[in-house]
Amino acid sequence: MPAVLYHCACSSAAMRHPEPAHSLEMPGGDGNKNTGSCSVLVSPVDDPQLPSFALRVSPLESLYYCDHCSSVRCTRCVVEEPAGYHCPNCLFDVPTASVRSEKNSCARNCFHCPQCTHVLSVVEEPSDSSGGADEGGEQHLPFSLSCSLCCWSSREIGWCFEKATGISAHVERLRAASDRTKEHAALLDHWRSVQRASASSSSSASAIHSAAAFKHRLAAAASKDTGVPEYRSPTSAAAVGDAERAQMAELMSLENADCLSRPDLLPQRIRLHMKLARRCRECHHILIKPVPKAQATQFKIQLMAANFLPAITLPTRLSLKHPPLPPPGPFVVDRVAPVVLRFANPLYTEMTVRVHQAPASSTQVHLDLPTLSFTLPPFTELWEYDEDEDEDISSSNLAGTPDQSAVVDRHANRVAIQIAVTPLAPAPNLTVPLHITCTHFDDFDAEKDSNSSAAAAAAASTQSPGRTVTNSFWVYLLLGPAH
Amino acid sequence: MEPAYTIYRKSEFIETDTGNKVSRRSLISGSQNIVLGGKTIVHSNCTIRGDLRRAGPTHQASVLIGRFCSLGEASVLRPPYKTYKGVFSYYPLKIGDHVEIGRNSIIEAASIGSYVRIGANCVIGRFTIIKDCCIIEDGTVVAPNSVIPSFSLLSAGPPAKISAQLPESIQDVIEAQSKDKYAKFVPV
Repeated sequence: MPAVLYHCACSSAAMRHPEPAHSLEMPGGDGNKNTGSCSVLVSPVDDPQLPSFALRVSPLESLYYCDHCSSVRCTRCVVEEPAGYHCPNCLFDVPTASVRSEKNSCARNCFHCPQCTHVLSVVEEPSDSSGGADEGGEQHLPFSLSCSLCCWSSREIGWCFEKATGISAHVERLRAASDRTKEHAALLDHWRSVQRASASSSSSASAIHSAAAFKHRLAAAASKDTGVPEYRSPTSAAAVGDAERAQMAELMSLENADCLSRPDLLPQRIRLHMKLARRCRECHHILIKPVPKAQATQFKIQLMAANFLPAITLPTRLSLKHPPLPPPGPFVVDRVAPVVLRFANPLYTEMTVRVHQAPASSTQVHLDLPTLSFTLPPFTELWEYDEDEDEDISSSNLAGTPDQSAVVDRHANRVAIQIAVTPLAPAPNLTVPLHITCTHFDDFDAEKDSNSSAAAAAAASTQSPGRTVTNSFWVYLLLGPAH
Repeated sequence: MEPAYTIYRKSEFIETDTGNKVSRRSLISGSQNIVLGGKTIVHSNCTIRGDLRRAGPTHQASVLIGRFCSLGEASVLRPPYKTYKGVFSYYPLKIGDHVEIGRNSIIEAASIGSYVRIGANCVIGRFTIIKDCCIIEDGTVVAPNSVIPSFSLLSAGPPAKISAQLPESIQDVIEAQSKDKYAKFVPV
């Protein structure tokens, strides 16, 4: 499936330069742009053959855009922070303060079935049935957890409840009484105290993390000279007895051990989900801020790259008036194949787009593409309503200036260009890198941004309020196999 | 890749005033109990059981579908049923806007939010609640009474489970695609 992937500058920047390499923000002058783009072009292109290539490119919809730094941010160059917890089953909003005390799980009646991982529901068994009396003993407990999918019931493990609410708390009390939980809690306490002691006794924080110190501690641990106080178990649960081991071996030797009733399979409380807010790693400006409620899908702040950068797609047909385009390929080495790309402007302002090809030495393809520049008309809501507008490209426009020769269609806020691709070597997935520079005039919040250092360079060149924003980035066209 | 144009024969589809396109080869029972929001496409061999409605006199519609939805070929929409306090009854099936249902899928959910994409050959069990902005992969079987929270990518499994969180822009992506698909569904 052919695809267009966008490259985030962060990964390559972090590897090659200590400072961010998106120094691509250039003032709007035409003369500047040419020299600027040349300097960009010499920067090496990611090698698509590398296994890490897949990590550095992503589809446009999963990228963010920091409008303070004027650069693309991917999921790896944003800082995530929690913005609200909720249970994925009952969608109850859990206050942040009680998340830890509830062990990160839903404090209501949400449990996973131990057999089929479906959600358990609370069922009531009427007291007059004969089954409840002998299980419940002296007191009848009508409520139990039951799986509507595999018919597992918590009565199998003796879990019956008096009330239908607060089952989690009841279960936690049951569990706290068990030896394993006590052992786990005691171990946690023990190692926390050890960690605290070692942190305070070590001379410097950096020494703890250095490899030499780690090796030293490993060696010390191996020679049993740890200086760590010995752990004394409050229970005997830690030691797995011989009887248990024999039972386990017996179970494992059975073919269908899963069919046996397993009294040690307990329902698990459902883990909470978290809503994430995201910040730019460079300037810590907030990029994503969700409405914290579990049911809400809105965002208070949402800076996605798709709202700032042109969307590049591979059309199958330019419009109904045009014949269908042949699908890209098949690509044969040393044979020219046309590929049509469509750019769409998401902004309400006009955008100038320049397309450059990568230096010939660094790619597996040859592109017959002069440095191409065109303007994308602004996005208007009106375009969505009139479908048959007649702003067709005229023949004179097609055969106009050499720059425009590659433009094959204009429609609303979209422009389609055609490039000629010649594969130079066989490839499992022919990858064509293209460098895109797009410039638009942003008059939105000029006074807010002008005092910041990142936008100062862009704002300085313009006298009028607002600023010229230039985004440059690489896109990779994945076009399928080349033979 | 952009989605391709789908060209259909004009005689095959009935277009309503609000832009719904309903295939003549679909099976629609109890059409007075079915609400289509507008610009929804019902493909051929799709079954909508509007006749399965709540017992007793009621004015409530049994199948409610929002705008810009697409019900794939040979999909089945059937309101969920249960016996509550000894009374067997069907309950309404509600579907939001911009919902795409793949071919051969069976839907018995209680509610499906907006901006949801359900793949082909899925079974959505009775009284399932799917919240907004979810993608259900092809061939997923969702157990009855499940709740799928927003922004979930549900993988087929089995058992079906939430394998990832979808990016924040998924609402815009699904909305744009469903509008694009409707615009590209054109008569000869």
